[in-house]
Amino acid sequence: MMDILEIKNLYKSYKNGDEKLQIIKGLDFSLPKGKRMVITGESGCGKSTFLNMVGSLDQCDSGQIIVDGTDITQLDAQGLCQYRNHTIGFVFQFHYLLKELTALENVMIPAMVAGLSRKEASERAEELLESVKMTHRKDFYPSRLSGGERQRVAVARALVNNPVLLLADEPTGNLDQDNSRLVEKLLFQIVEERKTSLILVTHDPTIASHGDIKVKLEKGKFVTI
Amino acid sequence: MGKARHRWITFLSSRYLWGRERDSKNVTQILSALGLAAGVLTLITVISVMNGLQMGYISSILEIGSYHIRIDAQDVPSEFEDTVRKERGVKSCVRFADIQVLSQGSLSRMSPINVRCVDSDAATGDAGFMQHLKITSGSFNLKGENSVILGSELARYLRLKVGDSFVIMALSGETFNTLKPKNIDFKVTGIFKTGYYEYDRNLAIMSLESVPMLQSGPPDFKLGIKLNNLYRDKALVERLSTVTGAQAVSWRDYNKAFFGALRMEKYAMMFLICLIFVVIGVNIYNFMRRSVSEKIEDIAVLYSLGVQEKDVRRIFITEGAFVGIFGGVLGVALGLLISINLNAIFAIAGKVVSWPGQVFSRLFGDLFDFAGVQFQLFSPDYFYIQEVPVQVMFSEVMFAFFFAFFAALVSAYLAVKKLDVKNPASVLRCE
Repeated sequence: MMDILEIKNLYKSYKNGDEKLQIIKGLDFSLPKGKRMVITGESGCGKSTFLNMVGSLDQCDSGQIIVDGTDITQLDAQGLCQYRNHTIGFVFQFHYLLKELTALENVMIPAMVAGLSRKEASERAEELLESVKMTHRKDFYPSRLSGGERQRVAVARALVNNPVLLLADEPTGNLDQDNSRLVEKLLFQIVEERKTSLILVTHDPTIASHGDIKVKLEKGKFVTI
Repeated sequence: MGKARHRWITFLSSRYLWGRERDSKNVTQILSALGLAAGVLTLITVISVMNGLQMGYISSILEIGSYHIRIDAQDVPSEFEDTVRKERGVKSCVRFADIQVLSQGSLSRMSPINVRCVDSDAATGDAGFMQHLKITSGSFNLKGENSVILGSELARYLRLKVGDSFVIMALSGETFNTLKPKNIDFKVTGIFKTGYYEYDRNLAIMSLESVPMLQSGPPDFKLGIKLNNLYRDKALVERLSTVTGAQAVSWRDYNKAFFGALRMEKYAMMFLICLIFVVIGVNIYNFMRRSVSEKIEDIAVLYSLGVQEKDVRRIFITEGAFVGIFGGVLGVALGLLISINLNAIFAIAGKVVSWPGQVFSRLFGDLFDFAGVQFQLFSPDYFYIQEVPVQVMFSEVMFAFFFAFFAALVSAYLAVKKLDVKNPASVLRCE
């Protein structure tokens, strides 16, 4: 099976005053297409940093990140924007929906950025909102939605351009247990249906148990659990 | 910018500007747009009134004083007038003379005056001249012997009315040493008003037959030519000068200093009013900077969705453009509405101001009576105008609109020029 993600000799450090914190230390790893990978680990161990690097929101010190055959460390600014728009989808711990837009419009935006007309984007967004069971709330602004509903809209937004890889950074971290289960269920169900690969960072052992590949980030490297 | 990109940027900008979730930021944007509208409104109204006043002077000068083209009649053959009248674009061609004399009216009041001698049939030969010369008393009759038509202010100063006689002192003699003053009696047959004080106070109109009486030596006749389109003067001036060898003078050259001063006055006024836009521009710059810093999370999210940095800038610049368009359109609409109805607005304002006095009179009529006092903002008693003249020019309206629009656009551009989304992860991690 072809790998959707290949990580080769990846290093990442942060400067904390004069001190250099090595977060990722020579990471080598690959994720086969369509698989669901769950990353756990202690707070501050570098889980989100790893996800941000794969999502090209952060830069690595050295190494290669090859997503769907493309080494994203070699892409220019425009190439990275296209990569973020077409290849991956991002779900954050906080929904980060644009408050001036309705749920439907929030989901439409990435599709419109990709070049779809408003009508096409709307059709695709409605389809996604139906998948996350939010059709009845599509014309509501984020301020009128509950935490769980907002996160479901965020999931729909992340998937609207049919990405090959979905990155989810503690998507249920801010939700109560019922909503966590609902979002978790929908998330895994959708990626299963769409054959989308998933990398999910979580502290929640229930969610972690759903992963095809379960790793723990420890001392800058993945440890299979 | 691609059509698809333009579409979503416009969509998002309009949502940021007119987002249905109202909050205080919209107030700032609305105030900025209203500020622009106020600037455009002021610019259009002031410039339209200025145009009205200046065009009143200019058309009086061109129709009564300078003509569109003037040429010395001595330098051209006698049949030349008919030839010129047949030229394409020529509305009229008349013979005239300007002479300066001293006049004396009732009560021995004296005044130097300019006498314009024209054909006694000027009423039919030069429609523009007659149109600007409103006869307020008597008639335009120069056919009687020694008839004169006086400007209203001159008649008032000399205490003359229609039918009165007055004396003009002219000089006779061939050389400077033999010049002698002579008094000639004239009879006032009409009084005119042009609305241009200079003419109303200093101009008297007589027939061409009076020229030998007023001027010693050969009469100094000129030909005054008027065109259908006064801006098509250059070609005719060139042709006349070439054909006759005489120097034809265009209205542009003849009135260069005065018209130049009027133009400078208008530009200076426009410049001063345009300073309003600088203040509004700074306001837009500030609200846009604040908007950018408030939306730093949105910017990071958009970046994570694949939006390019330059497109994020375009979102805010488009927002500024929307403010500019809204403010500009509103300003143009209100500016035109006020300019076109300015006199009606002043009349209403006058009534509103007079109203308390009338109420006061009703209550305390025995002590104070203001019932008959009607306040006028521009009373003809104090201002030399019957009503405020207004002339709206399309090009200037467009200038005001685009100036406001570009003020908003440039302010927005400067506000987001240094926007830097180098590390969106750190913004999104802050939460």
